[in-house]
Amino acid sequence: MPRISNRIRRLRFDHGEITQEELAARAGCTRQTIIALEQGKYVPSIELGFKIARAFGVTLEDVFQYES
Amino acid sequence: MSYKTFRMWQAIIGAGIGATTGASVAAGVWIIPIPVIFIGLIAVIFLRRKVKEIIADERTYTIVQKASRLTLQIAIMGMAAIGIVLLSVSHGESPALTQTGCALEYAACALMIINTLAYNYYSRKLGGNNE
Repeated sequence: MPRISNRIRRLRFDHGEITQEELAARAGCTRQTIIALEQGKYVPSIELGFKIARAFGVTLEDVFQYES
Repeated sequence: MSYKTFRMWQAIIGAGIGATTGASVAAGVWIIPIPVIFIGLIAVIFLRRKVKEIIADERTYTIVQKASRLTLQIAIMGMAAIGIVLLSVSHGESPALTQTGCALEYAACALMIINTLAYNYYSRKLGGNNE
């Protein structure tokens, strides 16, 4: 299992329950990638991580956490 | 155009190419499939550009990379193994088996060479060497 977790589901809820499709469009990725991220099955590149954080208007570390 | 509509058109074009190629080959007219395949490919590329949704992203490319790597490993090992078996069985007495075995071994070698060249190219392109 990846040691990088994320709060995407929580952030979607906090931002008015935006859909996975809408977040995907804002971040420039597919809905399947958002699903995989929320399920913890995929760790994104730094670029996509920044795009997702920017889509929520938060910092990268507000979205992703590294569990050492 | 939505991705769903694109997929529908892609399937229709694919079926059309398949049917035309099949009918042409059955009729013994070998020249027709070439422009049909070419036009079909151009149509698919054109339609793909009309899709506003994101069809592929970094995760898709990661999946493609992993699938390609596995396919290459299986293909090379499979061809090499089958080639050796055929060459062993033939003992130089069956030209057909010998030729097939040699062809498989050469194909496996060609794949390994292409893979090595591509690896070196991307290794240089993406940095990390000592130069």
